Amino acid sequence: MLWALPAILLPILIHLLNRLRYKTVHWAAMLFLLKANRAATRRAKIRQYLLLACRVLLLLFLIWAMARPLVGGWLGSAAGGAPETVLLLLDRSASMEAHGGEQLESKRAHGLALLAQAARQSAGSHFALIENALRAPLEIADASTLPTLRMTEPTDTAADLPAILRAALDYLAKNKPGSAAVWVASDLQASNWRPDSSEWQDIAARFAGLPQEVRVRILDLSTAPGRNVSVAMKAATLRVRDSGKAQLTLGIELKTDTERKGALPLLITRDGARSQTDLALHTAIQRHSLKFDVVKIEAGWGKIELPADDNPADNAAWFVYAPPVPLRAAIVCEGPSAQRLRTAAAPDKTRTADVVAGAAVNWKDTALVVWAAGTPDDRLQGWVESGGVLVCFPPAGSGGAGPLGITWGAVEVAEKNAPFRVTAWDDLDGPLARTESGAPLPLARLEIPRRQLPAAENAHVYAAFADGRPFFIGRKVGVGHVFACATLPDPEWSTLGEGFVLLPMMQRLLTLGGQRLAPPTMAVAGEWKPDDAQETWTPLEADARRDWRWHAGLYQSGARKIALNRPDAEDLPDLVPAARLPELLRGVKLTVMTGALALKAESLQSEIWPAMLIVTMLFMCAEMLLATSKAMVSMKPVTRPVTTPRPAEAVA
Amino acid sequence: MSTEHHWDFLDSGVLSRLSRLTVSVRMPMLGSVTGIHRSATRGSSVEFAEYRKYAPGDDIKFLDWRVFARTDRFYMKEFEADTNLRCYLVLDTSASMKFTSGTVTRFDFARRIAGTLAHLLVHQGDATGLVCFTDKTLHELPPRRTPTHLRQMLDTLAEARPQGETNLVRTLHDLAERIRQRSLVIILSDLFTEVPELLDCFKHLRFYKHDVAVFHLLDRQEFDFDFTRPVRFVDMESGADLITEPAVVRDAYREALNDYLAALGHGCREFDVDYRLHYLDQGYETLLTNFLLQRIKRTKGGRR
Repeated sequence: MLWALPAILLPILIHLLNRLRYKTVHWAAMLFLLKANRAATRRAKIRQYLLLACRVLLLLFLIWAMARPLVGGWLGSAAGGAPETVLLLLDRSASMEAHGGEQLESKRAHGLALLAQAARQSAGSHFALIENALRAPLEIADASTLPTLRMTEPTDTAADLPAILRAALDYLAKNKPGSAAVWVASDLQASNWRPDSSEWQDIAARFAGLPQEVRVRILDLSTAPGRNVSVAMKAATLRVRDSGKAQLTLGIELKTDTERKGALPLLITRDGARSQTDLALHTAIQRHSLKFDVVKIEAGWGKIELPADDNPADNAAWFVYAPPVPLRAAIVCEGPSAQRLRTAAAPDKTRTADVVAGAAVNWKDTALVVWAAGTPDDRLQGWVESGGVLVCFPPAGSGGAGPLGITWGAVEVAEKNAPFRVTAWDDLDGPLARTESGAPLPLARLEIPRRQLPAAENAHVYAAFADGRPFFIGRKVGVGHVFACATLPDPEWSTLGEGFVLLPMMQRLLTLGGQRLAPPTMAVAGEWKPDDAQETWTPLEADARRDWRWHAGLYQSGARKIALNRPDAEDLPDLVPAARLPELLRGVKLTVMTGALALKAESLQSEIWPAMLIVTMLFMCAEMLLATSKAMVSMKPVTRPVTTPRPAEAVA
Repeated sequence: MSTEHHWDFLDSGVLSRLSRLTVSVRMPMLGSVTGIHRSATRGSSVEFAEYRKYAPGDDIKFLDWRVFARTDRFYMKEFEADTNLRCYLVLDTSASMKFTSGTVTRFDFARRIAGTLAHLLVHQGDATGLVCFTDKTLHELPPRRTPTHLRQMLDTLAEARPQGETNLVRTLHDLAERIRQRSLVIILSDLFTEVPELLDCFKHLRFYKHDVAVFHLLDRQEFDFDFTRPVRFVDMESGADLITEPAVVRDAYREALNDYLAALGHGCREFDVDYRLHYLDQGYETLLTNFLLQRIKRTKGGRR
């Protein structure tokens, strides 16, 4: 429409033409006319130029309005030619449900509105939506339907931004559009973006290698920490004591993104019955164990809710518990440590532990295998991968390869009166974590005169000696775990046999291995899948819109129940700095739109032709006022002699 | 003798209707012969003027004996003298007199007034002269009261053509200096000249005790200035032109014209000039009737 811009010269042309279309009048009263002309010229000229300017601007704004202009600024740059394909990448993880800034709508809803508005501007482009739950490109016919699509609804899943970008790259490689734009709406949560991942180099290289022009625009929907508190369910275990009484223990973790302190009311629903309890908040991350006496030893379910805050999606955690299954440990050990290990594994009647030879292990029912023998059994690998927990102790020999990739160093003996000491250990997670009451395990009290250091690829060091050598390591193998300890519970080796560390450690490992024997009662939304794809899992609560594929909550299939919770990583408040994004996507034509939350969707790249029309009307009014008050055209006194004055007559 | 159709600016109907009225003057005249106008001197008419005390040498024919019998004092009885009138018809024949927005030009209009007045004046026995001027005096017929002179005046009027620039001021000053006796000076013009200079002329004429009457002839369009489109105005006298948008200058033009008319009217009242503004779209008979009747009223003891 801007080709019509020369039309703004029309008023000037008309004005010039008008000047040529005068009529000639022979006039007698020139005396007054000259006086009047002198008086009126200056004022008239000003008004005349104003009127002319009004008319020119009026036309300019009219043409501008008809060209349907877009708001300029950072999104206005997107108007420079609509790409053939627009990929809309939406992070709809749980953290995106947080309120954005002062607005009541969620970051996801705001991002969607922005995406829909941006898509509306590229009318004629081809649209595809890729969101984090399925990561499958969804073709969209009409971008305005974006906020109403089921695939843009909130989820309780985590987002894997590298994977989403890879899906976008796959789509671009497969469909080969002439030009493309990739819009990403995300809150830049560090756990979603994984900025330290090596995948980014690959992604940047793939973008750079695309034959077509691809521009990536990231809507930065991050906010500064607010007053959010999240609750996560760590464990829900039903324990049966020797007396026959059962107790339900709920391990919860509360996270705050500010230094909010004080009492926090917790609404607990257990098997449909509601109760409330207050917890004192004192640190950013704190764990609690809530204990409930249970009358019947049978399965149950429930949830824990927090009061409404910035993010409504992380205020609930669900749990399902089941009666404990009998736990059996197998001790494959020769020597004086065997009995100590057996006692540590089976201190009461609810657990059993047998000291057996490696070949005699009952693989089917055993939850924990303690291996302190030489040659590993071939079946050990398959058993661990199916969920078993193996803990290895030094074979006390010359070292070498142990089971499942564990290798042993040589036996080291400490100098007299200077035993090895454990000085650092992971007291948050793993078998050496603090007790339910919050007390740390007394690893520092261990005196270890003799040690044999384990090593394994990709192993996590749970505890380390003062010299930095590993004391206790572990790694995941398949669904199961392998752990290795650097000393034996033998008085010659260490004071581990006294039990104050060994007992809780063994019990925790036994419980961990017991999960293999009982079907899972709790899982992560978005990651969990039914064992049998034919099973129908329906929401246990009345909210029928919940879908186990991406919503947290309680689901059941027949008599089985499962509690799905959002991934722990979604509660982490860490963000990727927007300045780091160009570093991650090096070489990509990238625009990071910071402060996207402060923008209103209507004002974002919106058409401003109504405003143009209003301006046009204002100019019309001004023109009318000027024209009606005192009309104006140019007057230019021209004096030239005329030979024969004629009587008054009009000569057009 | 010129044929009558040369005098087509004369309307016999108007003449016959106006012939019952007198062209009178507002002040005593000093005529050469007896006429119908009051003289500045005492004379022998039947109209009593005043008493005055007897002075030695007075003709005792005019001594009022009755007053002497009653009061024992000598009073002379004086009577008004009647004399004739000398009138100058001063006609602007510059090019600007050609203007009209209707059918009758300003010059035609002025010529009708001048012809009619000349006819009336000569027929009531008053000496009438004619001065036609532009920037110089083109024709000057001294006042006479013979029918031959009237015909000569009418012929001159019939043959006059408006052309050239005007110099009313110089003409009037010259005239004031040339006329030796009190006269009635009737000026017919558009008066498009600066008011102070014009008033100086009137002052000059009035100084010599002339009775000055001014017929200011304007076209309605000159007053209304009702043009709508851009117009190139060409000065009828100098030929200078001006392209302008009338709507733009209309207000300023009217303001200038009104100021001019107000100043002129005020100056004429100040110098006792019989000023008559008249538009060309109004009939000249009405103008003349009013002119004559008001003069008759103003003349003390107006009489025929």
